[in-house]
Amino acid sequence: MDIQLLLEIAGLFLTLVVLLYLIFGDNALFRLVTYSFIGVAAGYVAILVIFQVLLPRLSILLVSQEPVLVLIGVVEIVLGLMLFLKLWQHTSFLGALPMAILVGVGAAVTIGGSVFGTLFGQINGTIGLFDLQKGGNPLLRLLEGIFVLVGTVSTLAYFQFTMRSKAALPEQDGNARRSPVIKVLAVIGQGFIGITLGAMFAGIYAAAITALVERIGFIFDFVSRFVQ
Amino acid sequence: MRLVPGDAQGEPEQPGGSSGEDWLSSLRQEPDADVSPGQEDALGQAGSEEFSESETPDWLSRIRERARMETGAQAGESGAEDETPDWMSGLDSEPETGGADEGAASSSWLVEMEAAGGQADEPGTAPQGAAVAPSDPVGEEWMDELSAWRAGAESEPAEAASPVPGDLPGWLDDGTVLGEDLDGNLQLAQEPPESPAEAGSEDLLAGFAVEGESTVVQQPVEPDLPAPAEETPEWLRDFSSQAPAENSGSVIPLIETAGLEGISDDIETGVGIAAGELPDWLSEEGSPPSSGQEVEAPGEPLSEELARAELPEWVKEMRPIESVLPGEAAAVEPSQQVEQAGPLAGLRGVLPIEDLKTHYRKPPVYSARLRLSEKQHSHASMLESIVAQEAQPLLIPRTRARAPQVFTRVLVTLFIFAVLTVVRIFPLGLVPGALLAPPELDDMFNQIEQVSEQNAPVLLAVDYEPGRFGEMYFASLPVIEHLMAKNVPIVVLSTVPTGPALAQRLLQEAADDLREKTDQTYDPAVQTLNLGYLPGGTISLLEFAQLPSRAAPATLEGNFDIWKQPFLANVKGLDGFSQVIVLTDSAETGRAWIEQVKPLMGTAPLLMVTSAQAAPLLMPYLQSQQVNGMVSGFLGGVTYGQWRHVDTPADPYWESYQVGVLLAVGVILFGGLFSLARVVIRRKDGEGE
Repeated sequence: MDIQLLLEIAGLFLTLVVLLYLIFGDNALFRLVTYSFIGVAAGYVAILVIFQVLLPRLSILLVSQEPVLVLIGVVEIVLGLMLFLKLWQHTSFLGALPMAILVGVGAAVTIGGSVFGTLFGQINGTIGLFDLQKGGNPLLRLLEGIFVLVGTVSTLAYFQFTMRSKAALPEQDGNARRSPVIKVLAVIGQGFIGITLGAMFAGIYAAAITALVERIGFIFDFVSRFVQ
Repeated sequence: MRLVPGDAQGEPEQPGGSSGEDWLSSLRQEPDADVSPGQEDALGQAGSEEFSESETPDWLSRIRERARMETGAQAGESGAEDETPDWMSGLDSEPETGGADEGAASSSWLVEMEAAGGQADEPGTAPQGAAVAPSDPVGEEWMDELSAWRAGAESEPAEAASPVPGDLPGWLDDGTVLGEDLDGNLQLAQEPPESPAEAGSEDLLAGFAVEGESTVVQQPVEPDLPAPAEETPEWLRDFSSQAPAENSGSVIPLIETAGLEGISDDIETGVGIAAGELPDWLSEEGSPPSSGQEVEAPGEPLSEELARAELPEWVKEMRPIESVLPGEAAAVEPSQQVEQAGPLAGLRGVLPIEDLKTHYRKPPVYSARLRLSEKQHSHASMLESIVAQEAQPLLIPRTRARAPQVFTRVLVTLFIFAVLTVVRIFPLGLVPGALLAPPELDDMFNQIEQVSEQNAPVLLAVDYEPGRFGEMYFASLPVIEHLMAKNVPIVVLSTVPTGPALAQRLLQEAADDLREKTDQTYDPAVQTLNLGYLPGGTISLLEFAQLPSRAAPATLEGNFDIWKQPFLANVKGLDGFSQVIVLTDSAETGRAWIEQVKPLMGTAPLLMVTSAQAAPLLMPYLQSQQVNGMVSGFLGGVTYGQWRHVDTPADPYWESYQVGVLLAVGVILFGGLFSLARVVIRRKDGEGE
């Protein structure tokens, strides 16, 4: 029997079992398929890491004729072993150093990228909207810029929860309130946030319906091929 | 009183003369050879036990002989007959019985005893109540003194074992009258005994008789008393030396009876009834105070022989003030007070009622009402209201039944499934293809269109999960086919473990589809290079952007010489690639590529093929020119294919996709309108009520 056919039969079976979740909810077959996927993925990842990450990288570093590379390789091996010892309680303290390195370097890279990549880039992009000489209808560009600016400021104002001491005095109902300007901007920001969330929901639904359509098409194509 | 051994039936024990008969009976008993001379008995038995055969005085032997005679005579008459001699039977008899005959018999016996008293050895020991009859002149002296003391002694203790008048033998009654006053207390008549010997004997017996009945005096027993043959015992000498004088108050009376009119001063002065029984320390006490007198303070030393304890200073400071105030009459100890009235009149040591009345009074009654401040009262009322709320039954909200929800879910699922299947099976052709293309799609098309095979390779990052394969396949396939149609070499990289496998399948299917549509051959095995999995996430992206050869040294197949191959020979960094196209379904992955890789790309454009769910979050980067082109979702793939005027695998599913989206819009609108209508109806119902 053709392997491709077997794979398609297996795919059909798994697809139908997963679709049963829509009717019967959580059931044993659905959990079986889920566990199988997790197991296969974990096994594949393990093989991939061993044969494509550890062995190639370590071999390159250790057999290199450059002492620096050899030293780097040795350090990498030692740190990896120390991190591996974190599995046992008595030796877990040895894994603190490589964990600290990972966390510290990761945080630095992430923060640096967020600041220079996202924050500065978005600020620059918002400012650039008001460049009326860049191209297009200047009025439309200006309106677009104003719209984007108002949306950005109002969304940020919505998340503003600090107040001055005078404004923090409780009113008659005992609740502290923000300044009126912030209140107005927060209301506008709520609208922009709602629109964004709606767009995100629409994208998620579109992705889901696409997956469903693709699976229905797969079933239809297999059945039609099988019938023919 | 114990019976003489041999009295078979035995008289009931008389409380009045039990102790006297005990010692007397013990005297009559033959000494036990195993008994050591030093042994003594407490009351009256010491005489018979302490004398060995050789030491038995004549008077004692005569007593025993007489006892034997009496016992033998009585045993022949009747076994049940009481063998007690007359004088003893007088003791056993009822109080009403007269004691005259017994008194006569006992008198004769006593006379004999006294006559032989001078020949007997002085036992020397004088335990309390011991039947020691001195047989020498010295002994007679002490007996005389004893009798004299007794004549002036006070009455017997009137406690439970008080001797009943009449229970004592007649000889004991001679000269002394034990009467009772109205209170039942014993009284001793003031009449002195007729003869010294008789008086002494009577005193001796009376002392023994009384002692057995009295429970007031508890005298220590001295096992070994000095036995000066010719000297008065020391203890008795003390008695004699301290002959009670009138109102001397040297000895504390054992009993003070109230209402006794005939009590002589001698009684009050308090020579003890059995002077021999009192220890030295008691005998040396001053005369007890009369009813009007007061006893010494408790802190005063009782005897010269007793060493006064040296109290530490801090203990002295704790002493009650009343005990140290000079000149202040010490309170009469309760133990020294004589009860004046009531059933306990005449007794000593009774707790004074008057003192109790003054000392103990009714405890004060405190009000049970709490004093609360206003703040406390408010807090209490608040707490009470909170607790009262807990007791109130909560309204259980109606829970919707689960069955309708399951039915609705199943119904909607089947409906949607059916619609999509029907539309897929029977395309209606009612929905036209995409007519409008977003600007970002146009930019992407233009960017790829500018790439040629002579340019540097294109880096294709496959970073999406297998679950999004369907959508990403429809969105990315047209783009890859466009690249393959350009014969552009493609270098594949992935930061997702499953990415290399997905990339392999995507490249193969794109090549196959391109071959089917345009007959153009593109060999992925030759014209593509899969660098495999890039571990480390964001950190590895930065490393790859700085030095790709170090971050990805080998291919997925394990080829370490890829960076020496022709189309990668000029690639030293990311700027060595003509374009970077990122296929991702996650906004975070796209942001990581934008933040870490884009700054080091130079002039090379960054293009993205994203899922429909990540597109809204990555759109700002598109507008900020950090992303140069974007194709998002199923719609973007179909549209890109229309722009290229080629058919895509997504075309058959376009109508189903559109129907599915329209169906979702309809369901959402219908559900919103239904909810709004229900709210309006409920409000109207509420206003109507």
